Amino acid sequence: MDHLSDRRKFFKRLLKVTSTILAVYIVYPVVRFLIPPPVPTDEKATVEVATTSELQLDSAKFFEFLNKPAVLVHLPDGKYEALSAKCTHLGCTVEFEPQKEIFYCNCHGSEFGIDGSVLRGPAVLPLKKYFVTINGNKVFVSTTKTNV
Amino acid sequence: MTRVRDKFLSFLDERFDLDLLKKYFTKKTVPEHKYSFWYYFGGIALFLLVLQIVTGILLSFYYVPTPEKANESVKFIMTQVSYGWLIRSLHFWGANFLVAILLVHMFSTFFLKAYRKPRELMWMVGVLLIFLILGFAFTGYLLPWTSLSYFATKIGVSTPYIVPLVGKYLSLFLQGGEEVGGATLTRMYSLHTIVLPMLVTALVIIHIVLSQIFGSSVPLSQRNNAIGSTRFYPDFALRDFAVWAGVLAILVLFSAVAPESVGQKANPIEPAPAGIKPEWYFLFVFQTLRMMPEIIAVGLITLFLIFWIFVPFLDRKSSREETGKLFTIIGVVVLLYFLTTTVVAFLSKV
Repeated sequence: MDHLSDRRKFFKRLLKVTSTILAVYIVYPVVRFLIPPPVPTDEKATVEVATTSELQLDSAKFFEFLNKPAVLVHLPDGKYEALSAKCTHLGCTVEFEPQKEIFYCNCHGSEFGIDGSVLRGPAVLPLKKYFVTINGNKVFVSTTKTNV
Repeated sequence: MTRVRDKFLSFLDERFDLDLLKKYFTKKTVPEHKYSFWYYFGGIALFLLVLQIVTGILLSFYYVPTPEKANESVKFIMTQVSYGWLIRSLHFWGANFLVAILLVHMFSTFFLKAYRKPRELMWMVGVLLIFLILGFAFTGYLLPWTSLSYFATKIGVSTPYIVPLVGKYLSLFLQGGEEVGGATLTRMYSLHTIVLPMLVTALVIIHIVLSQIFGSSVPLSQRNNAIGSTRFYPDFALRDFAVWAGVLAILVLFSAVAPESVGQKANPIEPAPAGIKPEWYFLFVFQTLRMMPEIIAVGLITLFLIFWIFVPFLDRKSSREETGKLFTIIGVVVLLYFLTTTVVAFLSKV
């Protein structure tokens, strides 16, 4: 009788262990399938954003860069600044306020300076900066410092 | 026509013993006391859920779930399809009514302590159903692909990112990629039209079966009073039906007076619209996130939800059929918090 009971216990445990392994075998690939593959973050890219005559002083142009929103600003001193337009808080696209020379996020009120630095939270990280190159009358934006 | 109907009924009766079902419904009674009014809300929620399924299926015949076509297809439904404006507005207002009615149903169940033994599982399934209905609201919000829905979804799918360890994967799962885009729309559509309906249907069946097993709960304060009862069929069922007709009439009125707009098509590179806020039922979460560091807010909300699900097991007094004030006070505090944060968030500027 004891022998039979031990045998039953053994098979019950065996069934539990094999069922768990089987469940993991099924669940693991499903979970991995649902998580999208990572996108390389060190992507290099250069895009032509505007012509020098197109963008007035103290104005901004929003454009898509590496599938993300970005902004090119023509500063009052004539220089150009290119930044990611994606708020570092929860990802909304920021707005350019030329009077205050800041970027403002309508979602939670974060403010960034013209150089991307955080002026007011809840965002804690600055806006990512890109490189601007001018070739002739064309303005290019790149992830790395390049000669266009 | 009557002969055909009789023949069909006798055909079913021979095979499934319909008399048994008829006897069950004529024998079933609903308690009658001064709080009986609250019994109607579960039925209204069921009616609204069916309405959402019907209008949702109709919308899916024309809706195209791609970033290029989603907004255009909604515009097409609203302007070209016969009664498209009505079907979509009924779906929109129906969703808002459903959440409101479920909240009333949940709080009335809470304050009448209807969750107490033996209905603990009914309460737990009911709370899970509310979470899933809010999931419906969240996944459906992106589908028109408007500027507002795009950025609201962006905030919604980015928020879990702050949860340690699993948050990043949860965000990626919801977004379907690094950014809110076509993959997110496909996922939201799949969750909204396949996954959530299956889960909700299963839980609704369990909830209804449990309610048939246990019947309607009599509040603790009414146990010693001489209470009457109403036959479920045909008396209570007829009243239920009349209430549903009234709710449908109000919904049609809302849809006709304030049809849902198409909204401006989303453009991810344009700034988020000014004064962006979530729908009214998510305002308490929005306000909580604004009042404290996000990680603490998310932690507190998660802890509260766990507490809320297990309320029937924590309220020991009511499970012993004893009256107590503690959980009534907790309920009042929760309700006041929900109402206050909702109003504050609604009135405040970003």
